[in-house]
Amino acid sequence: MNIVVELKNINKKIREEEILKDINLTIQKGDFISVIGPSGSGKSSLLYIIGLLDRPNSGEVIIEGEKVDYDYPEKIAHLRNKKFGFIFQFHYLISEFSLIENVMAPMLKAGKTREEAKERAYEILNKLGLKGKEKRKPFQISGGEQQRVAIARALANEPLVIIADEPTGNLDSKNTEIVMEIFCSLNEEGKTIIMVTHDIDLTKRTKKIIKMLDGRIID
Amino acid sequence: MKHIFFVTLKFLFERKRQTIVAIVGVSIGVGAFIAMASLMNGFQKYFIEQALDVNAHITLKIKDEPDKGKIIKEAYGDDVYYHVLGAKPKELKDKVTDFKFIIAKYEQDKDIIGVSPHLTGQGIVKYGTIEKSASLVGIDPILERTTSPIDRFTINKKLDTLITDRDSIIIGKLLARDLGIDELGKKVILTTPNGNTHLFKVTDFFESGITMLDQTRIYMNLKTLQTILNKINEVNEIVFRVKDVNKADEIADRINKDTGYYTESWKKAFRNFLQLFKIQNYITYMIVFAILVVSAFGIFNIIMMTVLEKKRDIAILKALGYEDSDIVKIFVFHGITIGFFGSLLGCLTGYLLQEFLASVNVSVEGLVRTKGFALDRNPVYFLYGVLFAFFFSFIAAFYPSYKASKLNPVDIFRSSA
Repeated sequence: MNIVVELKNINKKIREEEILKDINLTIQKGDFISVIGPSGSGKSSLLYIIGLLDRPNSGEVIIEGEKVDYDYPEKIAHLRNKKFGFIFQFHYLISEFSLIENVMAPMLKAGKTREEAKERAYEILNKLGLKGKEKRKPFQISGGEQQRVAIARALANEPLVIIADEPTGNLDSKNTEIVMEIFCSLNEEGKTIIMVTHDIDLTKRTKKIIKMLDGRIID
Repeated sequence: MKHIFFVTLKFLFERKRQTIVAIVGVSIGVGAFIAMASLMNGFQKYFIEQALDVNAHITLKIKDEPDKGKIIKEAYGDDVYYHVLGAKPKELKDKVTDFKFIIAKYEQDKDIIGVSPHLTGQGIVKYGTIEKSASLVGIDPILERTTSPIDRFTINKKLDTLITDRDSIIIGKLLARDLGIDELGKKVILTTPNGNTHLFKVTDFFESGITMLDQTRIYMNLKTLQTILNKINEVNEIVFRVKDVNKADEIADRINKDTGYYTESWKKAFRNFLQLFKIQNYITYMIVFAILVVSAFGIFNIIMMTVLEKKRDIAILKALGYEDSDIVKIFVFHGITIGFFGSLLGCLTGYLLQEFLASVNVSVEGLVRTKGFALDRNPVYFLYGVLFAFFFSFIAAFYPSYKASKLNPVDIFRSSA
């Protein structure tokens, strides 16, 4: 079973405005998908639906063959915790937490012990080149490093799909390159990634490209 | 739950200033509650204890009130409205005729510790040029000891001089002060309502701590008072001391039914004060309630502020898989932790305030007189303080926590983007 996420006839309205129109999409294990399109085309909304942060007005979301039932919010939260790792344009690290604590937060929710969570957080931060900075606060490191911590947090529970909403949108070219390198190597390791971007150059490094316009997938 | 503790403790400890302000707010409320409760209840308990020791638990006496409308009622029946003008008060019967029998009977009662006869009257006491009105109480010192720890209130423990010297009296400490008497052995002239005057020697002072009594009361031998009031072998009160003061009403009713005399328990006798204390308690607890509500608003504000400031972090936690109930727990735990540390600090503050009040060496003179404040240092006030703090903290934290849990992460990410 290679299909990890499947969207069927998804429609989403915000107030009276149709944000997503009849979206059908299949994400297979090991995919590296980039989503492009102009502002307001529904790219981020699509990611929120895939990542179970938002619910569609109609249509079905199927995760690993199982239809998502939005009447059970605890189950949805559990799926989000176990199956998805989010990365946003702005790192959105919790300022009161140290870097390691930011990475530990989803693991503690998943039921790992403090020690297990700490050990794994050290391991991921180390892998992403942040060794020795684990106890720093987010404001004590650079923007590129902050985004790497956000990637580490997304990887913490070994998610099924990594959802990245313009992860390089706020980075300089050097850090963009570092982040893309990380994504490529994660994808090579078998991780499934879906990424929204405005940068056409970056799409060339992904396996699939989805073009969106006015809430529809056009290509 | 470890993820809840993890997030909450980080929010608490990384926002030290806000946390400390909230904890101090709660501790002031709890400390004030403990100090005020022990002060108010201490005063009230002291008054009741002293009043119970120095006064009878039950008093049997004559209650022969003149019935001005007696004749009218006989003529027209009870359903008549009347108003009699110009009626002269008649002489009331004021003696318990069978007092020896009553004393002998109730000395055997299992609920009663002691029974003692009293003859009471009014008089003017004069020392030099100073005259003061006094409340005269004729007692049998031996029986009196069974109904009251009277020796505790006599400064020089010379109650027995009332037996050996029939012309001796024991006068209230404040009455002695008002008359200018500051040493024993002084002679005073006592004038009774029937015009008799008699010379008495002050052999001791009486100090109960209750201003009203210490300012007016004079104890003398029962026989002596009977003589000077021309009431030979008469008493107008019998006082009882009971084993259980809370049963005083019940026993008083029983004595009333058995003897036909009017009986009054201490609760009835002090009902005005007890009512006053009740009002005083309402006021005290309202003030303390207001303090606790203010500190609860402090917690509410701080958690609400935290929720508003941490909207983005709440959205992130939700994106990481934290459930709505986790968010509620995080912020309720936040409030309860403030309540917990606030109540701990409040207990310490309350204890220190109690210590301070206990160390203040002032002469309190009002309804009662004490050296320093009479405090009731019952640990239950600490328990109540802690429970109130927890309750208010929970209530104050719940609403902002609920609001936090209902935040939609997508709305927040969209507005942040």
